[in-house]
Amino acid sequence: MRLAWSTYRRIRIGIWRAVPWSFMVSRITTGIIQIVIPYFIYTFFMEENVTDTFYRYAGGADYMTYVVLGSALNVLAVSTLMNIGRALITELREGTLEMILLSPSSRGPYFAGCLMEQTTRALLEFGTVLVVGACCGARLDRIFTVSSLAAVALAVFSFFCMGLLLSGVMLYTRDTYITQNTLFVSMSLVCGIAFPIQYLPRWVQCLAQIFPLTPAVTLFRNVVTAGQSILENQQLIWQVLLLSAGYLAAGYIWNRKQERSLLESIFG
Amino acid sequence: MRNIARIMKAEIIKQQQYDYHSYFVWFSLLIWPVLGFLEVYYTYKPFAFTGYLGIEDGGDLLAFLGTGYMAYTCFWSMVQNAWSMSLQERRDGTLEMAFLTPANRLAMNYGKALGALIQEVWMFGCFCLFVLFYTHTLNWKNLWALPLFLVLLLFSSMVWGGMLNAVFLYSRDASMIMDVFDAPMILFAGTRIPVQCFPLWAKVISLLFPLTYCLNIIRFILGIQSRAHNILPDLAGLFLCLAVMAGITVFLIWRVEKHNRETGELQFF
Amino acid sequence: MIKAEHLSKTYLIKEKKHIFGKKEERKVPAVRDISLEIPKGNITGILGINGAGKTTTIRMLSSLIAPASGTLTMDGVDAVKHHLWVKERINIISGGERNLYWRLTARENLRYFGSLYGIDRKELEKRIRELLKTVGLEEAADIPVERYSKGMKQRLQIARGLINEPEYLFLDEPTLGLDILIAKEIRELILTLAKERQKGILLTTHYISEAEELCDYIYVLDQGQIIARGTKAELKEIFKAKPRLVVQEMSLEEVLMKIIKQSRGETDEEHCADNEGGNYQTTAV
Repeated sequence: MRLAWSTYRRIRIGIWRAVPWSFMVSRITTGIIQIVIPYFIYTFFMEENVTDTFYRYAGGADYMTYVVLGSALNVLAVSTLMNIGRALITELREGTLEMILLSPSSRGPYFAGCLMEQTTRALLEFGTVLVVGACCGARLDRIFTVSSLAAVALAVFSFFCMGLLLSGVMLYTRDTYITQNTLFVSMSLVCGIAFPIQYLPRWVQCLAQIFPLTPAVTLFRNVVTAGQSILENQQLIWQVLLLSAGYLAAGYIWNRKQERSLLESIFG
Repeated sequence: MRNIARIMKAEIIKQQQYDYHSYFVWFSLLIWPVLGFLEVYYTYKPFAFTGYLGIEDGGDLLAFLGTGYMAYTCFWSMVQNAWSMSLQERRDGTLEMAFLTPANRLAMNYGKALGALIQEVWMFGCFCLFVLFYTHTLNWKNLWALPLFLVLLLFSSMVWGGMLNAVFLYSRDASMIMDVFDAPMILFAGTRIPVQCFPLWAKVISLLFPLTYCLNIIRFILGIQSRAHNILPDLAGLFLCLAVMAGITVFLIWRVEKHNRETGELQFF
Repeated sequence: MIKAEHLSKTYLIKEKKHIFGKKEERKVPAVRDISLEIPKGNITGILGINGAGKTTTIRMLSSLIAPASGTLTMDGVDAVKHHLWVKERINIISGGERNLYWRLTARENLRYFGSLYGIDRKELEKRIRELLKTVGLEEAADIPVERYSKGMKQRLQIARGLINEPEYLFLDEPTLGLDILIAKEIRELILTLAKERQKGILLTTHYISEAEELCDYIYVLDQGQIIARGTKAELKEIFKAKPRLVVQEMSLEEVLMKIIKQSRGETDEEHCADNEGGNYQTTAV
């Protein structure tokens, strides 16, 4: 716990001192753009001419609420994935990774510290997008229910697990920019953020199921727009949990392997 | 004049040699835009087309988005290139070495922009041209419009890129410009939604982006949503924007050289 | 000849103490009131420890940055006012691995920089061939620079610095981090450039032996000021010691340390005793 807390404090100080706003501004802008473009299409261009197919796919949700919830959760996913995924490679670039690898502490609390540190910022971004969404006409009155908060917490946990694997991939490829953006662009296309995934070809819909964001966003929408309790969505919960477990295991194994080869290269 | 052409050529060749086989370019200027293009296409799926502004079906929409995305990618590649090259060249000290030569700074600047444009956008350009042929927006009858469309797009993007290169020369912390330019340009310049349907306030904002005029003219040339459209205001707007941007570029380059000679800031210490 | 009189340079450093705070400005004098000359056919040295102001001096003399005060002329022409004219006739070669495009080959780098000088294509190709031969990179000419060794990069830097056939060359620690064999080759090349091709060369280095071997005239710089000047012999003369028990001439390195310590007002008791009354004068500014 002490390591988690010290990681939290160190990253927090680093973030506040160096480039504090640029990533956040860019993620919030992307989130807002993801709402405003559909809003413009919906209001000014297509003049609210939504098809019945959409309502069927969206489970009766109105268009703006559907889009806003998707975009907000997407911002939360991107933010968590980015912060967790980049943690180790940032240490590598700053030359502090060796010290962490050489210390006897385990990686678990380290990443928990990263998660603690980033969640406050990520929720701030999530909140900002929701507020803008509400201004665009999304109905978010059920956002502060226990079920909704539990759905968000479950989503953050699954993004965290995926972030662990991403961290290994980034460390392996020594790249952040291409890896993260390819992932994020793909996620926002296939996970059902701005439109129901049923419009996509079937094989893409199947592919979408490997991202925890897909079941998480459906769960979040079911809870907020349809007013369901989280426990009514057991299948989605299980899917999120299974995916999380898979990513957690893969991330753990991959990171262990990475560390070993990194240590060898340090002493080699 | 020959000297200026020589410098521009050297910059274009350098850019090509520099970016050759760069994964960064493949991903950022082909794969991401194609995925983004598909995302916007699918964002329209929940709606029933009413034929408003000449967009009657999926094909019309593809043509509309194809032109929008192609022009946007040209303009966006300029922002990205100005940012990455300025960082790279400062860090490697090559920027200062270029400023050590007596070469014409404006030629260097525009050469850099044009080089990046040719090198980086051709792949996505091919994708968009394929979309335009696929939707019959471009066909044998109006093939004459293709060179006109390309020259207009390349020239406008180059002037825009030249200005951004100058901005990034002036400030090494200009990454915020990426955010400031990117999102509003996507929304207001009519890359994804026709400007004509905007409310008045949004139309006024769209006038600030040279891409708006450029796109209107391109869509006019290609016959996309051309009904009763008067092209003259757009031509005048584009011309004015290009002149203003060129003016800003000249001024900034003069300031940069002066500023650098005072502070030596073209390199990281 | 390049002639600098009373040149000074102050950097304005802006610091932000808090994210929303106002930037605070701080003036840092980098170089103060220096006067020096760089004649053609000679190697003029600037010696000094890290942070002495060597790089600022070289960048000012090469017209990359403008002096805050003082005059600078090149062959009688005002070099501050006509800096583009000066840039056609000078070049800089720095130590280290920067200032080159790593993804480009040696030939491509030289072609690019040559074109910026407006050199005609045929002439440029001829020069590139000659330069690659001079620096011994003919065989590696078409390999990207990122695959070069440190020494090869440094040799390419030299070729780049000679692409416009400059009349004056500024060498900023040109043998930094190189092994002794390559450093020796480069020193020989520098000597040839000055003595046979009559280029005016300014060399900054903190390898004293390098200055001792190459420089016709030396300026010692410390904390932005010239604290001593002269030929090697003249500098050694300043600290001419009484005969020691073991007859051994004082090295330039020892001389340099003494000059710096004296200029900073620090005493060096062990050596003071050896000097004539411990009371010496530099040909200081």
